[in-house]
Amino acid sequence: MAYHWICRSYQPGFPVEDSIFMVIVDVPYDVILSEINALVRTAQLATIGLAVFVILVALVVTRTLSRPIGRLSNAAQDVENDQPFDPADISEVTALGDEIGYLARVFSSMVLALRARMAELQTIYEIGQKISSSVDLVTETLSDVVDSLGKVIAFDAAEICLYDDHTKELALYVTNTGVVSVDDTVPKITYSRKKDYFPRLFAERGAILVENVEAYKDHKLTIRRTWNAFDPKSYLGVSLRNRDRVVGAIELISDQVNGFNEDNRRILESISIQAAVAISNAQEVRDRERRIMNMEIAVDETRVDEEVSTITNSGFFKSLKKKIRTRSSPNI
Amino acid sequence: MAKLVMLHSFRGGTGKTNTSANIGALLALRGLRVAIVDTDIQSPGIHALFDLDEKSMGKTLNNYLWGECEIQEAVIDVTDRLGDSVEGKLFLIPSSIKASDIARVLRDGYNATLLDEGYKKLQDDLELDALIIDTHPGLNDEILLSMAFANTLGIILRPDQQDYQGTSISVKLARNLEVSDIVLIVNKSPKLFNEEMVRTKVEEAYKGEVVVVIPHSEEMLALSSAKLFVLEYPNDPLTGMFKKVADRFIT
Repeated sequence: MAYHWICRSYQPGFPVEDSIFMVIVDVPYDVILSEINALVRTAQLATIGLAVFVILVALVVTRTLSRPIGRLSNAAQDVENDQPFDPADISEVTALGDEIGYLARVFSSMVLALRARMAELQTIYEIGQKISSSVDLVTETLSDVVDSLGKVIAFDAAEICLYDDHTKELALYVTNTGVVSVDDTVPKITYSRKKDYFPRLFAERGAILVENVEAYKDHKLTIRRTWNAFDPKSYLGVSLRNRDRVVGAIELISDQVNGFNEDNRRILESISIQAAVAISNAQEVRDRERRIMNMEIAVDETRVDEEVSTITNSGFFKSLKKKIRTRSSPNI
Repeated sequence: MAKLVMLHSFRGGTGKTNTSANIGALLALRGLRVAIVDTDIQSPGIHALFDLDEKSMGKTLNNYLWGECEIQEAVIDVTDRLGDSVEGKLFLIPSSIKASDIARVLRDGYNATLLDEGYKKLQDDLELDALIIDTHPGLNDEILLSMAFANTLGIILRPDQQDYQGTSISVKLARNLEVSDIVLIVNKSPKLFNEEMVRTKVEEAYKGEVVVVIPHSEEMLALSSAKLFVLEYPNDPLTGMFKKVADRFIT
């Protein structure tokens, strides 16, 4: 590239020819703009690079943040689809110390509690189905109740008594120890409804949970029961009610203090409702069968004699008797 | 000598009327001369089994008991209802089904003692072998009177607690009246009940003979008391049971 150097003198007020000298540089545009353009390109490349970098960083950050939410979402989807749920599946998320970690821990606990409650309901439903379909009072219905309770509540001994409205006593029908005869004709062991925890059972609709029998002052277990050998330390009992009428009681004992918990109480209450209906139905079937088998002819002889006496003492009846005696032949 | 057979029950709905009509028909079919007197004056019903209505009835038992006619005038020959070639005879002495007559009975009553005399006249005039008395449920003067002169008293009961008490009263009164032959007929027995068990229980309870335990019959129910069962279902086991009762009554 060739620059044109022109040197001239210059002094204002003097003609050019009279100036000392003057330097004029003639630089082409391309030379000047090339540097500017280079700066512009550099700036553009830097901007693009920065943008790419920012996008990449954003993607990484977003990915990092969304991954635990995605796992949580997948776990929720599995729960919704009734798939097995293992807290270990979201352990990475629950281990986080941020809000997402907290949400994951709450979610995990909630699912476990919900699953446990659903399993409980399913068990209660299955127990209800089983005991409802049994019709023989002792060998089926009551035994089914005890067996079913044993699957969902840990206890050492159980007794099921049925209440007799006439005698005001509870008759022991079934135990888990099998010490009571299933023969319905064998006289039953009976308990007064005023002893042990029966007054409370009759007074309350819900189950009674006594965590420590020895520390419980309101009522004492005083009757000799089939469970005495276990030295009861805690107690769980519920009255069986059908249409507001007490038909019996289910009682469980444990040889440990705090042998039962609130979950056990809730399960027993749920089962007792179905058990009461099943027992009432079985009793009805049994009574009906008894009536059919025995065809009991109940006659109140006192009332019969009173009514016969009223008629035989009437004037018409006496005259009729007299007429019969005077009649020669019984035939017309 | 006609045999006076009275069918009685302490409670209504036991099947007295159907039993009376069917047994009467069976006896007539055997060649006997039989009359049925409907003494259920308060709620007559046997006429329906012989297809009689108010128009086809002239004088009735009511008119006789009010002293308005002789009992023979109230007799209707219903033998033709049994078929064409019936050797015996079946007569019916119905009670009035007029509402006004029933109201009059309830209001004014009637002379029940005329029944005894009426039975004798029927026997003589109709030359009867058997006279069957279909009664009103419960115990009143005319029932006691008929009971007193019956040769055989058939007490019908259902295996029902409502019937047991009243049947016991009827049996005791019949024994007090020295009725020589008292038999029990258990009717409308549920099919769940064992026949022998029912028979044993009733015989033990009343210390009397149970002639037959008749099971509840849908066919009988379906006839709606409009037709005679023994004619509609001659081969049905129930007809066999009615025959057994008829045999027992006439022997």
